[in-house]
Amino acid sequence: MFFHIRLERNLQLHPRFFGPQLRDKLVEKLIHDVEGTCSGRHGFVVAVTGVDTIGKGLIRDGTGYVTFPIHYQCVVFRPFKGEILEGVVTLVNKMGFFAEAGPVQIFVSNHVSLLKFVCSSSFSLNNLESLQLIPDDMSFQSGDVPCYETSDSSVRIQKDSEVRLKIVGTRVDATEIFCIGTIKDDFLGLIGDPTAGA
Amino acid sequence: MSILTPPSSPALSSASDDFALLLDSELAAESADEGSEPAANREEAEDLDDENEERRKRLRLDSASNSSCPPHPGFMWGVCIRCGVLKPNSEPGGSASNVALKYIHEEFELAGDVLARVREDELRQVLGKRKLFLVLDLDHTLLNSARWMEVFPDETAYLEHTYMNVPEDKIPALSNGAPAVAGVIQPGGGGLHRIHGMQLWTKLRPFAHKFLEEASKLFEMYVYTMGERMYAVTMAHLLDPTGKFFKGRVISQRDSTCRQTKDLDIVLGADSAVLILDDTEAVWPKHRANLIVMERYHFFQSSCRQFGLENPSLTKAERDESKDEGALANVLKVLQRIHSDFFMESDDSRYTCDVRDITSVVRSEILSGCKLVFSRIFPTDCLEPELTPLWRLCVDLGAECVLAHDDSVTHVVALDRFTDKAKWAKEHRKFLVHPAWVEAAHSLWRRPNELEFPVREGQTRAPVFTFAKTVNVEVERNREEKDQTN
Repeated sequence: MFFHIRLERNLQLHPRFFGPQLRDKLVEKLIHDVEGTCSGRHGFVVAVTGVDTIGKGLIRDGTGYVTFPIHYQCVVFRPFKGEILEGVVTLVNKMGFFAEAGPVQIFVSNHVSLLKFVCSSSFSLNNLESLQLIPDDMSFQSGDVPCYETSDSSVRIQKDSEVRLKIVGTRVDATEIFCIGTIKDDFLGLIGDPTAGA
Repeated sequence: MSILTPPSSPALSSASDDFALLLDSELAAESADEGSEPAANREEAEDLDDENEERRKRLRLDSASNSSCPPHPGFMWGVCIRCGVLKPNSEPGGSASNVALKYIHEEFELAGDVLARVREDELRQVLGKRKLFLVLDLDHTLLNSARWMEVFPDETAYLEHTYMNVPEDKIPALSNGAPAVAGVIQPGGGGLHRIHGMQLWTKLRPFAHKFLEEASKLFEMYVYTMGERMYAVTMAHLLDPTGKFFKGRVISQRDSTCRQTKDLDIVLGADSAVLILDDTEAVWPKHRANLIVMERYHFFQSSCRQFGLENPSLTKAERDESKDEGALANVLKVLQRIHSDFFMESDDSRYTCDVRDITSVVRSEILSGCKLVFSRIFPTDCLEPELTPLWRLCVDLGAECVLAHDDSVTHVVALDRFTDKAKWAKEHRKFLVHPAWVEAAHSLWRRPNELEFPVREGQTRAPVFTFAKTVNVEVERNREEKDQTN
C-alpha cells in the first residue's frame, strides 16, 4: 500500500558545497540517498514529494562536514499481510513463481497455492494430505517457457504474465522486505483470464 | 522520525508510524477472522456454478481445511510459504528436518516430508518420460581446469600453438549468458577455453558435448561439483550454453548439505533411479552402489602434480583422448545399456527396477568366464585376501577368484614373471597379466586385451596409468579434416 508520510533525515554535507546552491544541493543529496531505498519500518521510498524544513547545520567535531536535519515528505510503498496486489511474474520454477509488484518481490509457492495447476515444464502437483487430487485429465506439455497451466490449458501463468495475489506473510528487515503470497482465493490469479477465481 | 534511530525507539513517533502500526494490527486481526469462516456457507452458495468451478472450489476448500501450520512445509527468505509466519528460531525438533535447496534458490528450504513428496513427484514425472537421473561431476570427469599460474610457460606455449591458434571456423562460437564474473571467455579448438575473469584454462573432455546430447535423451542430468558456485555455473555454461541440459540443476559445494561429501538428498529423484559419474569414490560415501567411477582426465600437468603422479599429462605427451573411443564414449554405451535394461524390465507404470542392481549385473559381465589366481600380489601373511580391494573388484567384475591354481584357471595376475604360478601360466598357455589389467577392465567396461598388460621384469608399477585411448592431436586433427572433406 502506498502512503504519503513525513520523515526526517540527517544529511552530512562537505563544505565545498557551501554557497548559493546549498539548499538545492541538500535536496539533491536527499533525493539521491533516499529514493529507491527501503527501510523496514516505512517500506520502500518511491519518491520525495517535497522538503518541509531544513534545520540549522551542526559542524561535526574533527571533520569539516556539517549535519543538517531535513524534514521531508515522500511517497512510500509498504506491503502488508493480507493485502491484495497486482504483480508481474518474473521467474517461474518448479517450486513456485516470483512476481514483482513495484519494488517488492513476492514468492508464491506451488505447494499450497496452486493445487489445481500443473507446471508445464517439469513438475506434477500433489495434494499435500491424503486426498489424492491429481485428476487424471491433467496433462503435461513440454515447452521452453516454463509456466503453470490448468489441465484444460485455459489459464497459463508464465514470465511477464500479470497476476493478482494476496500477501500471506512478510518479513521486514532493516533494509529489505520479503513477501510470500498466494493466488488460492477468489478473484486471485491471472489477470485478464475470464475463468480465474469465482 | 530519523532513520538512524532503531525502529523500536519511542522517542520521535510521528503520525505515519502510528498509522502503520494501526494498519498492522487491524490486518492481523482480520486475517485471524477469515480463517475461521465456516466452509459450509461457501459450498452452498456455489452449487449453481458450472462443473469446472465447482471442482476447483472443492479442491480449494479441501486444501483450506487441510492446510495448517505448523508443521511448516517450507521457507523462503525465512518466511513460511503457506502461512507467512517467520521461521521460529528454535523449532521443536522440526528445524532439523528442513533441507536447504540452495541451488534452486538461495533462501529456499523445504521440510523433510514435503521434500520426500516432491522427490516422488519428480521421480514419477521423469520415469514417465522414460528417463533416469544422471549426476555428473565436473573436474577430471567432464573437464580439466588449471589456473594460469599453475601452467608453466612451455605448456602455455604448447596450448596456444596447438589449440588457440586454429582458424576461426574450427572454433565453435560461445553464446552469451556466461556469468559476468567469468569475464571474457576465449574459446579455442578441441574444447579448450581461456577464462579471463577467473584466470583459468579449462579443457573439456573430448566427446563431452556429444555425450551430453545423447545422455540428455535418456537422463535428467544434474551437475554436482565440490567447486564454488561461480565456477560451477561457468563450467555449466561452457558445457551447456543454451541451458537445455542443466538449467536449474547445478549443485556446488555450498548447496551440498555436507561440506566434504556429496549426497543425493538434494537431488529431486529416488536413489533407485540415479546414476552418478564421478572420478572419486570417496566423496560419495552413502551412494557407492549408484556410482560409476570414471578414469581421471589429466590434461594439464598441474592435474598430475596435484595427484602426485609422475606420469606425463596429456599436454606433455602432446596427445588427447580419442573422441569416439575415449572414456566418455565408453561410458555412454554403458549408460545406454543400463537405461534400456531398466525400461525393458519394468512395466509401464510400475517401475520396480533398481538401477543399482542393473549396474552391478552389467558390471559383472565384464570379466565373466574368467578365473583368476593371484601371484605375489597379496602378502603371505594376509589372512583374508578375499577382503582386499583388488579381489573384491575382480569379483564385482564377474570373475571368479581362487587361491590355488588348477586347470580351469584362465588368468594369472602377477607382479613378477618368475614366480611358480607365473611359470605355470606360461607352460599351460594361460594369460599372465599385470594387476593393471583388472583396473583397465573396470575403467573401460570391457575385457582388455591381455597382451597389453604384460608382466615385465623389474617393473612393479603399472605400464600405463590411463586406459582410455589417446591419440596424437595433430594426427587426429588431420584425420578429421580429411574425413570431413571426403
